[in-house]
Amino acid sequence: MKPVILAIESSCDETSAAVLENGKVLSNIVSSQLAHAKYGGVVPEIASRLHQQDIIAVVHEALEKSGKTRTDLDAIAFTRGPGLLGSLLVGTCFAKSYAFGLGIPLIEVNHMQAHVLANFLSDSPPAFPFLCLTVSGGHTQIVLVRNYLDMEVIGQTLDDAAGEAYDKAGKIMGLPYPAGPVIDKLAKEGNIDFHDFPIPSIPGLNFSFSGLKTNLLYFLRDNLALNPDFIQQNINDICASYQHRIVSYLLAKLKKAAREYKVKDLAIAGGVSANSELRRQFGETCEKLQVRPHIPAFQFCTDNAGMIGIAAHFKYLAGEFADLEAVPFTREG
Amino acid sequence: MTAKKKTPETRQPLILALETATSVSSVAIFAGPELLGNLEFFGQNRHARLLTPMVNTLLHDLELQPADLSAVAVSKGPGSYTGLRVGVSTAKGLCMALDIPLISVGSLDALASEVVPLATELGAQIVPMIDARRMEVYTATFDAQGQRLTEVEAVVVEENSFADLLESGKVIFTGNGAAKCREILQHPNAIILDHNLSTARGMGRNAWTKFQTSEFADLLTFEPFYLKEFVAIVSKNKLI
Repeated sequence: MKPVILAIESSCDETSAAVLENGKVLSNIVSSQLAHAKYGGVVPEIASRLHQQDIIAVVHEALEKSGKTRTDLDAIAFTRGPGLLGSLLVGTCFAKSYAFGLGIPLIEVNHMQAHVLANFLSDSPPAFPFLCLTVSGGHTQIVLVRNYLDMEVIGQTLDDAAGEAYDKAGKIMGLPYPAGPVIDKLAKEGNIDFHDFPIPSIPGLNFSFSGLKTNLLYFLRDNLALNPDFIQQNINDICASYQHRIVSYLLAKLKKAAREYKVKDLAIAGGVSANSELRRQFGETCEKLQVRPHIPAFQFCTDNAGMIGIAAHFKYLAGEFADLEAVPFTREG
Repeated sequence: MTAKKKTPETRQPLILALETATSVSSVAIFAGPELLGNLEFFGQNRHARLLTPMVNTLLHDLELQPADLSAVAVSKGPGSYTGLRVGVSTAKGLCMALDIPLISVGSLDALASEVVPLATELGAQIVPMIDARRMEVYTATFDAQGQRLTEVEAVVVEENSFADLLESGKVIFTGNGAAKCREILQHPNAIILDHNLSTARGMGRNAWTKFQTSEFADLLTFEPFYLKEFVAIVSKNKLI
């Protein structure tokens, strides 16, 4: 069985379509919505409108680049959630009627599982069981992966996601949205010891990030009272020490989990796994623990349909199909 | 010899119509101008769940296949933003899968179309209204034949909103927006049909006209008619 699957992702502010054949990505088209930048965050109604505008062109291009035609397709996959309702609705409704029109099966995919399974788009995928640290603008999770479709969240954030900690810091310092890549770049020239951000004390494998941005806010407020140019003069050092705390905190928890679950493979996934400091420290951590590190290729870290396609591939092989009544869900649980 | 069924060749082109501008989920199939069958669900927020299954059921009940369709007509609005996007996304998926054209029909045109026989009989103008929340309605004025006379607009209904129109002769107010105007439309010339809701049945006439003249929507760029630009507010609050 070498299924050809068209996958669609529309959970937030990326409209994406991919074609996979037997679990290999033939095309992966991503249209990123730039309109949200000036609002400092994703505006749901604008996101929904843009998905509607882009979906046909994106699907068309994905098919064209793949060298396949619609009659070659064996199934249509879509992101059912979690995500923004209006955004998810566009991809879901399109996928349902497209599959129905072609008379082929429909496959629903959980966006968070897909992030984890993006690690199987590599030539040397992780061995089961493994742990995956999934970090994005909306999520921070440590996932125990027993098999392709058998996963358990063993730790997660109790408030903000790691990506949110970046975006909120960016907002405080007047950096453009999304702030992650900007802070990552500025941090490269900075001193990680500039300010000692407190380590959030949350028991077990869960996370908390909301205190970090509050600490940053007070730290900057106090210093700005003495020096109005404090941020501009120290932007690199502020970013370096802030980012260092986020990343080392993430990895301390992952290390703790790795010891508890005694796995031989560790993976990272999600938009924040494109972060250079996270990649660097992840490599160091794996070396120390003597486990194999896995990071998806850059194009499969941020939201993309390729990862939806690989998740759908495993569901296709397992015979897990959705019916035409499928509707999006916005949150887990 | 097998019994010969009516083949698609001897039949008028089949047009599937989808209407989701209000809370009603509705699908209809027309052979040329003639209604073959329709399904309607009167409820709240079920478009995404029900629309494709309703198309499936209706085709099945009419002993048709998706491939028998010649075009898909979709309500372009105005109406509920989410409802319209569900309809348009569903229509686009079908058109792309079946490689058939997309036809867009205004939600007010479809509403007006349903009361044309009555309007013609009474020599009345038609004012379809779709609820746009609070005291606002999406509306336009149509002649007795269902031809639109004014721009589609969002109107805040007030005491004398339709006074001039009502002085000029009989007016049929139709659609879910007409219900909230009952109070102010206490005029001998006003005929209020607020039980008439937006359904795909009313789309047939417009869809067939557009099909015959090949007035198709561009699948790639077609968007619902939102009427209003969405304006988000850029936060000016400084955090520090």
